Amino acid sequence: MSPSMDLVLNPPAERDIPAQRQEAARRLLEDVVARSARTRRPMPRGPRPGWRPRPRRTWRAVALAAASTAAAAVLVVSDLGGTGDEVVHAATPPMLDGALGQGEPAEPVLRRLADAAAGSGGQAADATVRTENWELAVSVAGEGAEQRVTTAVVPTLRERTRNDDGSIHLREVRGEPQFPGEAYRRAWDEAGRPDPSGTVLLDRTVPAGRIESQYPADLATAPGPLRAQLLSAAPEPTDATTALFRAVRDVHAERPVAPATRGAELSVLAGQGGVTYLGETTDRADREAVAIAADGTDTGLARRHVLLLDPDDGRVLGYEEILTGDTGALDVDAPAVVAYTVFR
Amino acid sequence: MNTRAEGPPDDQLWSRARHGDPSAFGELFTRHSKTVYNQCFRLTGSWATAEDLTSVVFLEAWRRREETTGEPGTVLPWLLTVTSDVVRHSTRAVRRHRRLLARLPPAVIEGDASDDVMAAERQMQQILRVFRRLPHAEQDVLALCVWGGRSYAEAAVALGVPVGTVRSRLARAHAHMRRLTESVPANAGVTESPRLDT
Repeated sequence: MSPSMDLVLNPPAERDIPAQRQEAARRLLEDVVARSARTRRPMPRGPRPGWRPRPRRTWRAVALAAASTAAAAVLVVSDLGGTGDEVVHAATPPMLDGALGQGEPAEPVLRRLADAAAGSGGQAADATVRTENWELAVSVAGEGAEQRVTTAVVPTLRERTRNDDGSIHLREVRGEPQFPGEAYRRAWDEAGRPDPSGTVLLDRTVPAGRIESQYPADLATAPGPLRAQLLSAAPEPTDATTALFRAVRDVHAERPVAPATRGAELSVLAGQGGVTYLGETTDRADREAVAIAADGTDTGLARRHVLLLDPDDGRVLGYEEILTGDTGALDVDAPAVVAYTVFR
Repeated sequence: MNTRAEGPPDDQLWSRARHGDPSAFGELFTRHSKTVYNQCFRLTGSWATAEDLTSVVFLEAWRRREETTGEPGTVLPWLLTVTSDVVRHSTRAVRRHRRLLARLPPAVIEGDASDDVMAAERQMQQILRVFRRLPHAEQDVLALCVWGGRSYAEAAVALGVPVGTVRSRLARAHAHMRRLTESVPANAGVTESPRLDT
């Protein structure tokens, strides 16, 4: 064998891919998979259900499905959960009564809240963002310990703190499980109570520069530029309104947002077609809130996006996604809450 | 968070990823990105290009996920096949994922000015001058079995051909390479691999 042939069969020594690049690429790939899962990946059906999410919270909403009358109405509070006699669908959180109403144009409410937010003055108050998150698990049945819990709604409590040196401390803990009914609780018990409350999922400090946001560090305080920044993560969205709803959720989940930017956010939404005001309610943390919504099918399934806002200063209190029509192969029966975030 | 030193096998991770588990796909990336990265380097002769294309390979793997069922022992060989396709059609693949790639930090090779790095690139480009003159079928099997370290059986699964075909292609590749290397001066000039524009 000639020396040159030797060279061909023995290429240069291997190298490691740079750590920063590897971490960034992994985050990107996981985000791509997560977005695909939210939109298209079906979940195998389990046994057929009998339980339906029931409303548990009071909604004081404006006129809903009725044709053109927009008279205010008080919606009825229902009990938490159904009879829970059997486990059928994957567990989902209670549906907020009135969340599926027709509502009315949200622009006047959003303009008022935008002014209130911008007028509240000052900077973002805290370096820590605290959220409670839950998202319908999409998993493969029959993979033992790797299987996701679907007999309980187990939220994740997340703290994200930006330190003075630019590093970011992340801590994630399992929250309290919620059950649609007793049968679900029993099934969860029989499964060995997976994902028990208090389990620490993540507790680490990431050096400065290792976590990159999809959004600019300095968010604009004028609606036009801010809108462009919020859409920068989805440059050509099929539905800009729902993309903006998601962007607001994402931004607030990663950083404290200054009042002036909050005001601009609400102005952006006020100027966006298709945003409806659903009325006043109490959020999942038992706070008074006003709810605005946008409907879309950009993810492949009819989905309602709901933002819950503080009625006094427009702070973002929560975000929910609700499947309203066909659920594909997802193991839920529409309408069903498939994701929520509570901002603490 | 799953911190097991030895995670689940590739086929289980692939199954979970296909059903929408982001961390499973992330784990597959962490597990195999070095192999893919080095294979990209061998096929391009540029560490910076290899860094960019490694992400593209996994984005393409996700886009093409219906092409494989991820049977035991097939995930990495299939990834290396995707690697060959991505390198061969890099302009199209990069264009397809340009917006996502823009979210990554620019490729920075640690110590990229070092003699070792530059020497490795020169060496690889010299090898590629010969390699690229082989038929594609022979390039694939040589890249998989010789550079990628895959067995004949794994290469056969990845390429969708019988094991005997892998053996015969590899034998032909060796013969071709021998003839070609004997005709190329050891110090032949090299062309620089272009940096990808993402």
